[in-house]
Amino acid sequence: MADLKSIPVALCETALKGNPLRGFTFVDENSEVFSSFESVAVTAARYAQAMRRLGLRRGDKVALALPKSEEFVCWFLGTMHAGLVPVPMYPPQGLGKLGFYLEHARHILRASESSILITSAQIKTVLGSLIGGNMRAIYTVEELSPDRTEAPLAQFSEEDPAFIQFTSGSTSRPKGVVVTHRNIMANAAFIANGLKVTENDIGCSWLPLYHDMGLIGFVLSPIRNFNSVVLMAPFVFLKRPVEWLRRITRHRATISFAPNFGYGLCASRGRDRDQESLDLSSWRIAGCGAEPIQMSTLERFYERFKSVGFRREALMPAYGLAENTLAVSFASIDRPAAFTRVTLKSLTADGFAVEAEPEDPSAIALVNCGPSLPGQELAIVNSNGAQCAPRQIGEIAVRGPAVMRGYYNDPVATAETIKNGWLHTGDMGFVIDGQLFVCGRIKDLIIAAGRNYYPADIEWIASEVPGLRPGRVVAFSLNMSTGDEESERVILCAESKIRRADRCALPERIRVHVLEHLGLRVDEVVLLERGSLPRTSSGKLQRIKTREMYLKGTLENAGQNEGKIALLGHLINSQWGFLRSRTIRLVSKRRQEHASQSTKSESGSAYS
Amino acid sequence: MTTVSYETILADTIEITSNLAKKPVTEKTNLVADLELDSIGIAELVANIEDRFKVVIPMDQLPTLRTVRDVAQNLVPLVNASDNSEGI
Repeated sequence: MADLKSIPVALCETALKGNPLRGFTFVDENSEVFSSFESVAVTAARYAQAMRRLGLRRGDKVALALPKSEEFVCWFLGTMHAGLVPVPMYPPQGLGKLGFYLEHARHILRASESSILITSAQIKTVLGSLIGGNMRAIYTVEELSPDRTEAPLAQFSEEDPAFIQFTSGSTSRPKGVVVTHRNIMANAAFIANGLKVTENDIGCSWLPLYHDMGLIGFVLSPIRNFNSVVLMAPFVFLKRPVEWLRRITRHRATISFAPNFGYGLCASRGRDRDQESLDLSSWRIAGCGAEPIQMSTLERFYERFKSVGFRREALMPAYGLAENTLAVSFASIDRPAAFTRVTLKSLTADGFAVEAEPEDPSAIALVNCGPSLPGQELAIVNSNGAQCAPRQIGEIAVRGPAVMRGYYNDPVATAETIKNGWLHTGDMGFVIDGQLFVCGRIKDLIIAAGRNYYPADIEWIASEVPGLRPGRVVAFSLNMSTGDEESERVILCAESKIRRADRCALPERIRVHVLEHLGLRVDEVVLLERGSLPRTSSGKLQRIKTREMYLKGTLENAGQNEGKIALLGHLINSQWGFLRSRTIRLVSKRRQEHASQSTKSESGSAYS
Repeated sequence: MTTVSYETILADTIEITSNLAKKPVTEKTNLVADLELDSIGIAELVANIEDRFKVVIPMDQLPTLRTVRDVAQNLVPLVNASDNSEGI
């Protein structure tokens, strides 16, 4: 197994084993369709031939927007088989929001320099206008009319790009992560070793396949590791979360991953009568990653499903990111999820995680994401790139064979992210005895219901609402705790240019506009007078500063703000809100100090 | 075979939507703008409607559904097609 050089080679090897019972089960609404690895390999080779007929050349990019899992998997593998580079795109989702989707799709098609797009007939009608530049044509699956002719397997070098993954979420300017064949094979081996995968393991996933956790974890790794997988459509899960657990029960699945919100949704929406049909005793690894992990959510999930055989030890926090192909660290697989309680003051004021006294009411529980997977290095570094001491908070950095080749056609962003082979993740954390604890993001991403939103997108969309001053909108999030529940609260601060008396309807209009275009709920709109928002040299600093002023209550309030008093109460109780704003501030302060050695920026003084 | 009328389907749709959103709902109510349903809320609404009418709303119909009326109108052919076999 160790000498496999690429996924297409691994797929051929897997198919040659000729086991008709191993492969993918595609779950869509009421149907389950099984395809053996052999049959998937043959289909992929036929699709490869259909693409070759189009005159595409080795290394050409092929964008894929295919909502059906079976089509996506076979076309993705077919593209690789032909020596082309697939670019997965998410299909349009939910109600409305088409305008934003088009903008996003246009950006990905251009930035990836895709030659063709393969999609469904329905999506083609939406995206038909995007032909131009490198994009020669948009094909539906039917139009490519693959026949029974199979293309020979293309030749690969380990360092060739295997696919380009555009970073998740709804941003209008995502960057293309170039993942090589070597990256995939290395990370798939890490996953197999880290999870002690055997050929008898069975995966089950509802994760989107245009994302690293779904694609690498539950399509590509299983091909290398010869594991059967059950793939559910994400919307099937969102509609009825218990369906996920039913499929695990039915297929006796052993490995499944989800972001924190997936476990939360099952725990809160599961009904007692659903429990009768469940048996989760086969589930040995319930991985949790891709967004901040709340110990309380994992506990609720365990309490809810322990009576149907779910084992506490199965819950396994993990840390990873697309820029490292997928996995960076896994917590221990045979012990319950662990956490450490640290004092709030130590994190916020000192940048050190000091263990809290058992009775300390302000202590914060941070989940142990385990040691770095063997075969790569992990370090916590400060803004000068120097390694931090144990328990000292800094940026998580990774070096090893799974670090992406770079961002496609973006040498500046690549150089900022990969230095001396070290991938700077943009996430903050600390290490105790080699165990990684993740405690925040430097990137000012807003994560709601498992989706990533870039504040710049929210600000841009909100600015379209008449009555706001263009460019004078700031969005950020706070992690709130209310009782046992923790949730992300999205705040939008905007300078208004209309008279006070006419502003009543404005917050509602902004909220609806953002919801319609991005599917994101803004929890609070703060209307401000002209000149109230801080002016800084970058959007990131402006958000940090605005968030800080918001928390201190020093933003001048211009209009009717909803629930302001209730919110202040929340804030006082919200350790996380303070922690996050303070820790982000700490890192940015260090960065500024570093930067201001050469240039004295106006914003630098804001924190001194 | 009995045909289920638009009015009957609309009344049920209004009830299901109102129960989920915990707000008053009419035929003209916009699911996103008026009820502020996010993607998870929409998914739950679709599931509740499917459970009540014993149908599956195809995913590619979703982008065209904006109001309660849109939902009810889309349900008419689905419900009456499935009514052939099991009835509601």
